Amino acid sequence: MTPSFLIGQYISTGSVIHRLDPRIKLVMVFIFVFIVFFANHLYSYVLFSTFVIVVALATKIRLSYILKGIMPVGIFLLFTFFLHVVMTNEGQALLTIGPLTIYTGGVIRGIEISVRLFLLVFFTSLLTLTTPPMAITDGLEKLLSPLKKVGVPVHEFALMVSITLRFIPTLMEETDKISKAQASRGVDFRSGSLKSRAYAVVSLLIPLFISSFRRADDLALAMEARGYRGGEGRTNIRALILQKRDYVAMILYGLMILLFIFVQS
Amino acid sequence: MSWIEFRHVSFRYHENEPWVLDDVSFVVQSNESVALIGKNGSGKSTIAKLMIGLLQPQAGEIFIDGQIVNEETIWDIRSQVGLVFQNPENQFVGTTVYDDVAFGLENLAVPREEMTHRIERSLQQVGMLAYRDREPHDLSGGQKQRIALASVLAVEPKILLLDEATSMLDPHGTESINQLFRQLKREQNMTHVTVTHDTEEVMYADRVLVIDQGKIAEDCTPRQLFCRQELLDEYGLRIPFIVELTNELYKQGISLDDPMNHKELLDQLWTFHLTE
Ligand SMILES: Nc1ncnc2c1ncn2[C@@H]1O[C@H](COP(=O)(O)OP(=O)(O)O)[C@@H](O)[C@H]1O
Ligand SMILES: [Mg+2]
Repeated sequence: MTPSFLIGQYISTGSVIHRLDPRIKLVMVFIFVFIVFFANHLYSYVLFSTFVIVVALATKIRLSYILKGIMPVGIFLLFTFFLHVVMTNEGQALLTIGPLTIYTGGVIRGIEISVRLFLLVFFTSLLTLTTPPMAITDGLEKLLSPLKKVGVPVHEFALMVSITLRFIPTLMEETDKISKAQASRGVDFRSGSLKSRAYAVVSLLIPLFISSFRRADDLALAMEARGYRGGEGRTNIRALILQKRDYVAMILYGLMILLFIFVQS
Repeated sequence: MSWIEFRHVSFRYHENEPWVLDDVSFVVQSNESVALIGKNGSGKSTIAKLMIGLLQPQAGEIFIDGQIVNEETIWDIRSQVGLVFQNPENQFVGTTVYDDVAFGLENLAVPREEMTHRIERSLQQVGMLAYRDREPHDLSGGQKQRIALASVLAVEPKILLLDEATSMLDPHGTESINQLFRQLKREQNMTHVTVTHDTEEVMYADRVLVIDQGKIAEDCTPRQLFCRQELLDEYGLRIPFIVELTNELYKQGISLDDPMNHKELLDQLWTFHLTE
C-alpha cells in the first residue's frame, strides 16, 4: 500500500496520541475545523502551526510520511490559492497579465486560505494516522448515539462506514487485477480519444461492480450466519472509557483555544 | 448431544423452478463427522445454509438437537451451529482480526470480559494470536480462513459446518486448515459437516453423503466409497495415496486391512513386517 493511497492511513506507533480516546480526538478535530476559519491574525496562524507540529511530533510518525500522505490535497490547495489570487480585487495592483490584474489583497487572501486549509488537512490527517478506522467509527457512533432516539440509524451508518473501510484495500487490489486483465486483452487506459478511454473505464467498472455485488451478498450471508440482527442488544468489544490522559489532553486543548481567543482580541 | 436431522426437506430458490433439494432426509449423529460431496450445483451449499436457517425449506423440517429450525429459533440455532464459507475475503467482517472474531460474540451480547477471554482462546486454538491486530489485507487466504474458523469457535458451537472452506486456498493453506480441522476433531466434542472436493478430507470423515441433483445418492463410509471406482470417477475424486498404495500392495500379494490414515497404514505395515 503506497502512503499516498488514502489521506493519512493508520500507522501504529503506540504514541500517547494513538492511545487517546477517539471521541476526544474527533471532537478536537471538529472544533479545530470550526475555529481555524476564525483565525485572521498572524499570531493565530503561528499558534495553530506550532500546535499541529507539536501534535505531529508527539505521534512519533515521520513528518515526511505525514506530508506525503496529504500530497494529493496539495493540488487542490494550489488551485484554491490561484483562484483567490485571481478573483480578489483588493489592495494595490501588483502586476497585470493581459486581462488579469493581481492585487496584494488577493495574494494575502490566497495565502491565508491555503494556510487554513493546510492546517485543517494536516490536523485531520493526524486523526486518521493515529486512529484505526474502526475506532473512528466507534467514536462517531458513541458521539452520535443520542440521535438514535430521534430515529437516525447511527449504528447502521457506523457499520456501513466500517465495512466500506474494510473493503477499500480489497477493491483496490481487485481494480488493479481487472485493469491488468483488461490491458492484457488489449484495452488501453492511457491513450486514445476521450470516448475510447471512457469505454476502457467501463470495461473496468462493470466487472468491478459485478464482483462487489457478489461480495456484498456473501458478506450479508456471513454476517447473518454469525448471528447479526441489527444494532439492538449487541455488546461492543471496544470499551470507550475516558482515561487520565484524555482529561489532560482536553485541558491542554482548552488552554490552546483560550490562547487563541486571547491572541485574536 | 448435537445431532442434525433433515426430514423430507425440499427446497427451491424460486417458484416454477425445479427443486434444488428434493425430499432429502438424513441424520447426522452427535460427534459424528460427515463429508458432503457432489458435483457443483448439486445442492451442497444449500444444505449447509438450510442447517443454519439462512434459508427456509418449502417442505419438510430440519432439526438441530431436536429443535426445529424456523424463524423463531434461528438466532438460537446460530449460536449452536457455526458455518465457515468458501471465500476467505467475503466473510471477514471486522477491520482487524480481533474485531472480526469479536463480531459473532457482540451479536450474542456476550459481556466484554468474557469476550476478551474467548477471543484470545479461539485465536490461540487456530494459532493466530500473534496476528490479533492485523488487518485482512495483510493476511493470506489461509490465514483469513483460520480467522473465520476462530470467529466460529469463539461462539462455542456444538456443530461446525465447513462449506468448501479450503477450495480457494493454495495447497499449503489447504493443508494447514485441514490439519487444524483434524486437530479440532480429536480435541473437541463437536459434530462436523464438511462440504469438500478434497479426498484427504473425505478419508478422515466417519461417513460420506454423496449429493446428486438435490438427492442423496449414496450414504456410506469413506472405505466403501474408495472401493467404488465408478463413484470416484463420477465425482472426480482422486484415490487417496494410502488407498492407492494398499491396492497396489494387494496386487503384489500383500493384503492390508484397509488402513484409513497414515498411522493405521504404518501400524499395519509394521505388523506385516514383523509377522512375515
Ligand atoms: N441464491 C440463489 N438463487 C437462485 N439459485 C441458486 C442460488 N444459489 C444456488 N442456486 C442454484 O441452486 C443449485 C444448488 O446450488 P448450491 O447449493 O450452491 O450447489 P453446490 O454448493 O453443491 O455447488 C444450483 O443449481 C444453483 O444454480
Ligand atoms: Mg457450494
